[in-house]
Amino acid sequence: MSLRVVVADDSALLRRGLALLLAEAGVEVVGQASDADATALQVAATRPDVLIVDVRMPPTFTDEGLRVAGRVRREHPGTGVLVLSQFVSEASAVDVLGDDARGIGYLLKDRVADVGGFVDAVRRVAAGGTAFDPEVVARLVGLGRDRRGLGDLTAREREVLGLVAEGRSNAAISERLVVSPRTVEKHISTIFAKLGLADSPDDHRRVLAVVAYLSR
Amino acid sequence: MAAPASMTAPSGAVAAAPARGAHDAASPADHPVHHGAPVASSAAGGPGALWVLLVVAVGLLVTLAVVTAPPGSALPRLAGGSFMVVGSWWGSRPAGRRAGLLMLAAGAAWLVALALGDPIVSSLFDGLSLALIAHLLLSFPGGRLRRRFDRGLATAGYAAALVYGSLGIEAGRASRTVEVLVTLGVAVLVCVGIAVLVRRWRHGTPLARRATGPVLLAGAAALVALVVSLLTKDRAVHLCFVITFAALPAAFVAGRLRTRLAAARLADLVRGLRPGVTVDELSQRLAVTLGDPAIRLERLDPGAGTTSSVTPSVAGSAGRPAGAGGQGPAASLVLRDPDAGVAVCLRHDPWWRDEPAQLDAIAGLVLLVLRGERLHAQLRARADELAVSRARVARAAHDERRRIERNLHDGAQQRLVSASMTLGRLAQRDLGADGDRLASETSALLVGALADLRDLANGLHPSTLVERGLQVAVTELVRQLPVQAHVRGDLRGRRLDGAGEATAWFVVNEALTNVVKHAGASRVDVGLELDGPVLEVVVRDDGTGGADVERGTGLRGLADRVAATGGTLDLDSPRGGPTSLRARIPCRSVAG
Repeated sequence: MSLRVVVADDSALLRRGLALLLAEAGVEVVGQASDADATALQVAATRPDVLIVDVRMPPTFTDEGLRVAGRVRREHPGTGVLVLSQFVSEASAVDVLGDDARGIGYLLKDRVADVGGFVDAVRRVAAGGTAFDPEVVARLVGLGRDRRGLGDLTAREREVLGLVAEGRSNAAISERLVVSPRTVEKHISTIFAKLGLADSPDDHRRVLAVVAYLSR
Repeated sequence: MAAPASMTAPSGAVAAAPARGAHDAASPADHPVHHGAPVASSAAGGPGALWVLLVVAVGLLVTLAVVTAPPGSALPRLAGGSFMVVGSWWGSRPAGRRAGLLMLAAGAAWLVALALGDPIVSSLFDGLSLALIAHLLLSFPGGRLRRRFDRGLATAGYAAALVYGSLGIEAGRASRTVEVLVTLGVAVLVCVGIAVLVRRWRHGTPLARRATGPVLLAGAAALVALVVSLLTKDRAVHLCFVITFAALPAAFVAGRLRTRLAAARLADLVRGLRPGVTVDELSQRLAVTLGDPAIRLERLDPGAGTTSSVTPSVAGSAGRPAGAGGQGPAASLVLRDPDAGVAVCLRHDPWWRDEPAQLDAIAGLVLLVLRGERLHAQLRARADELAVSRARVARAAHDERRRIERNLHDGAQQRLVSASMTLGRLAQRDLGADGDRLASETSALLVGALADLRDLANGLHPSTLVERGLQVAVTELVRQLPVQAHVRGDLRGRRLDGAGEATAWFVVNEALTNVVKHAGASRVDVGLELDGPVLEVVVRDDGTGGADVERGTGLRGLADRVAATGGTLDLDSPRGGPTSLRARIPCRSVAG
């Protein structure tokens, strides 16, 4: 069964590009919208697995997209939301996350060019997971790291932490870093111990904990 | 020096209530139009060289006469002599010529009477001297007898002196009856004269009273002493009379000095003036300083013609007489400086017309002050204009930047994203090794281009600022710092007008950059507070301080940027720290 998504972006050019890209990857685009109200209507009408929405939309071109994302999450808890932005805003990423990391994602539009990675993110969100743009995570983790008490972590541990924050599963992490899943688990418990965080078997709860810690 | 001021002095025609008419006797011919040179130096004239010589000569002669006087006659000689000296001084000005001559003549007659032996001739000269003094007092200060009654009185005085002297009453040559009658007649005349003087004093303006007070007082006293002396023939009373007579010249000088002193207080006036003084304030200060309640300054329409007439609007107001039924309506002077756009009407006590040098000084001062006030007002207006224009330019620049950022976002960036998406789809196909390589290179280039554009757009107008507002954008800035940082603000969720937000953001950005680069701080606090129409941004750090707006840390440009919006930037950064940067930026709250 293929995924069903609604694409919302005020640029017809980008909507078309996304639609084609997704279609070629076997994802069905069941609706398109170009402003916040139309987006809400489409989601209500088509009940997709994921809503892919741009942050900036008419009429003010500020944060309509973010707000409709929040609205959809409240009104349709089963629908994942993947927010696309043309630039990275930590604050927006954290806001998007809210208190529930399930079925939520925040990606740079640039990321879409890596079709495989993008579709993977869509699938993750559809499955109730998290997909955070690595650049956002890099900011959260990398900058001001000493201040955030990350000075104790080794470089490898920081890398793992980043991937956890992105919302990846242990399996995905071990595949990415080319190490055994056991090693990944060990890293993660060490990291959580050093940061004083409670580990959790649920990926999305992990993400929440880590991101919450990083964005203090 | 040659200030293009014209002082036209319309005579009483000023007080234009039609009923008044030209009551004031001074004719227009007395007030020529002046351009440039002060009045005093031309119309009033300084003492001619001849007169100065006269004064000196007379002074020497009198001193001689007094010094060589036999005992008992020193005082009378001094009395007569001082009349001559003061008379020559008084007459050295054209305005005082008549009075001066009267004084000179009175003094001369008095001295002649002293010198002569024949009792009748001596008595005649005595009488002449007194009649001349009476004439002088009645016509004070101008030396002209204006009213028929005054003229009659003066003539009667001369006649009485003639009669008294020729009848030889002093020498005891007349019969008792004649003596009594004539003496009584003279006494009555003198009393009438005293009454006239007293009445005149009471009805004078404050200025007139100040100037004529000493004279009229001494004159009345002398006349009273004269009457009593005539009636009682007492030697002691006669001595009193001589003394008061001798005091008269001094009284004249005193009166004159009082007027001059009043004018000297102009210096006090200047000291107390502040810039931006209004015409009304100046008017009041002048009146108080000079002790002339009749002084009023009224604005005229600067465009009105250069004739000496005053516009009806001025005439309609305050045309009331200076003193209650006294010397006539207030006189006035029109002061104009067309280049400076100044035109006022200076109303004053007519007394000042006898002191043209002082009037000149007053007029000069008024013009100076008013010119200054005009300039001040013009400067202020210019400064306001500039501020408005500057703010406009700043806003235009901001709007332009925002427009470019929008265009980048909506145009170039989207196309590039679209291109990279298409490239991505291409990369999904089988391109062969070469194809894969090329696709990969192209992808990298596109990603690079997108990153560049993003930075460019951010430099013009930060994207988070656009989307989430100032507080969120600042929080984001702060979180990237390697030091402890806190943002304190009550703006969450509130949007302000774009230009204000942008300026505030750039202030924080620049300040934080400096903190990281120079301050060596361990903690930074950023405060954002909306205080009415003004946004206050504070960035405080506990670093080493020593920051200076002028020293090329980008703070100069920032200060300019803030100033252009009409705000202020203050930096408090003592050596050793802590440093505190405070910007106040005018900012509207925008709904939504």
